[in-house]
Amino acid sequence: MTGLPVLSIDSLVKEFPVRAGLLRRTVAHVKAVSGVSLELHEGETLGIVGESGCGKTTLGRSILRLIEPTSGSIVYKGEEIMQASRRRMRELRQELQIVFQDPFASLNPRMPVRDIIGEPLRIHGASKSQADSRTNELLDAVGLLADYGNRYPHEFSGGQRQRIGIARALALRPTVIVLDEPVSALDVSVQAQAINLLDDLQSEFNLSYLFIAHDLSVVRHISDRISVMYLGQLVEVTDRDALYERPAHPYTHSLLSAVPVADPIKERSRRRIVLQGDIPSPADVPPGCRFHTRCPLADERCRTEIPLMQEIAPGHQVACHRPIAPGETLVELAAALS
Amino acid sequence: MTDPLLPDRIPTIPGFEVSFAEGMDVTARSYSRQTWDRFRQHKLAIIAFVVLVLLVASFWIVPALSSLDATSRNIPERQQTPSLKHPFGTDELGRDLMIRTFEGAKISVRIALTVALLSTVIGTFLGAVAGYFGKWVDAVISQIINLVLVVPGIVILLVVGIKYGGSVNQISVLLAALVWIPIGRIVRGMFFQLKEQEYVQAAKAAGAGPRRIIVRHILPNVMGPVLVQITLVAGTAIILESTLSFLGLGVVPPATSLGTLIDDGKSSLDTRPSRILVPGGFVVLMVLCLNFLGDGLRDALDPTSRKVRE
Repeated sequence: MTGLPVLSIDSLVKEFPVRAGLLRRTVAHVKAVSGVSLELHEGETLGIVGESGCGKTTLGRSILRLIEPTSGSIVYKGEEIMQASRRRMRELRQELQIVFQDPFASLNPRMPVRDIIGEPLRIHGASKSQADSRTNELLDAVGLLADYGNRYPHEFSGGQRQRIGIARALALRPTVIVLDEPVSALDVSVQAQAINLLDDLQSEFNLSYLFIAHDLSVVRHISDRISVMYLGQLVEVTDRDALYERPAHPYTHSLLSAVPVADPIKERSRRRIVLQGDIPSPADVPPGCRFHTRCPLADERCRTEIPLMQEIAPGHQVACHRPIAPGETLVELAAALS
Repeated sequence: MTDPLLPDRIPTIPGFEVSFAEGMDVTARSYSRQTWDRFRQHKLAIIAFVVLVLLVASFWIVPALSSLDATSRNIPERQQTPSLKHPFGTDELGRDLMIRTFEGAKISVRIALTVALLSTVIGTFLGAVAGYFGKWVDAVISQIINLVLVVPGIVILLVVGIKYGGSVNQISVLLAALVWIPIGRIVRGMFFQLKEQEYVQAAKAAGAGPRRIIVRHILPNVMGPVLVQITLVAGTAIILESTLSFLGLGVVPPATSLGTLIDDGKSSLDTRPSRILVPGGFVVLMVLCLNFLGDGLRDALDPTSRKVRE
């Protein structure tokens, strides 16, 4: 991790208006992403973890401006892309690519695989034969036979389809790829293959990944740094190992306690922290710390004052009034409180 | 395998073996090819399709081969019952009813085709624009659709028919203005749904503009249901045209359509019901065939009823 970040995002906000009534007046806002700031360095994988509905997909798509962000700044290699013209944005799309979660919905059922992978090339001015030869290279790079190019998406398994989606994202030789839960729709055995493939491709093409996932076990393998997201905000950002060994945010603790252990004896004695209640609606976020409604450690201050991101150790940032120190456990702290 | 209970191969259900052997030479079946393979399974639709083709072909071939025509009068042979010379008999002016029926059917078919084409163009275009762009564009188009839906079609046909009825083209445009609605609604709904699909997002991420997305990504996935709807619209057009002509607001003499023939025949309903039953039968047969064809297409275009590779 040297020099300037490839991609840096500052206070990114995306709010969806909720309209109601005859006049379609805006009655509320769904605050999907509320002031997310992060940096992605060259060749790095930054994992983003959070439960369903926390805004991680919206974040990923906002970064590519597939969803127009409400405010904030996205700087790619020193260039502010929030202000990029439509034409410039098209050029930038060669640099920033995305792999989608659903390998069935993300491939057009009416197009043969060759056209699906070649389309980004054709849009950016490659001839048919140039696109075809690059497509063959890409099929090879993701471990599929060149012959498969003539087939249609439904003829492939989920894992194979996801490889096709990855090949499409690689077509334009991007530097940054947003991986939006790329393996969560796959079987566990296939997940490992896909993760390994992504790992290999990263070192081969020097890619930077923004890896969005909803469980910590998948991200652990591939990420260099991990940020934990809750209800549209990042609550903890740190190196992978620090996150697993010295988690500081109560939410991270509870997420980690939900990861199953592949040892039946340990697994039986594992103490899970089950959070009370559901994730609040992003249309009606709690005041103060957004996590206070479910946090076992929440006190008066958490209910009123919004915690700011602060550095508790080099490279380890937490947004919490009561970060958990190394050695402490959430279960014990909660027990001591009650 | 040491465990005798475990077979060395996972058993497969006959007909569902899928082979992805590396390097196996498999020629890809295109989407349309697969659709055709599924369509072939639908016997009734195939029969309907063949009958329809034969019927339409006969409308053009039979009058061309016959020495008789639809308009020349032959008073001595008037009001004849079917005979070898006049298989459908003659009318009160001695005109051959078979030729008149076929000529009339030709006009009905022409109107049906024109209406199908026009309403597909209007419906697809307006539906696509409304569904893709949404917002006020959709609000305007949806209100037009609602307007056409709430005003009874027959009233519009009667009022406008009195003023503009007559030529085949005028009737076609008039009918198309009414029957494009279901196509427009289907296209609009599918656009709303498909534009959120991840493959559309992927195309956007690749830098594709609205035109490419609409034409290459969304429209091909919409055309299936539209095709089904076109067959139904064509059937509706045949019925509506007959209705209009029967009421005397459609095709005007000397031109005939199946509707005017039924109208001509209604005075001799008691003595020669065949004068109504024959042209009516053609209407029913064509509409029935179109509906069966639509059924078959619906099944064939449903990718979930995928058939295993042969």
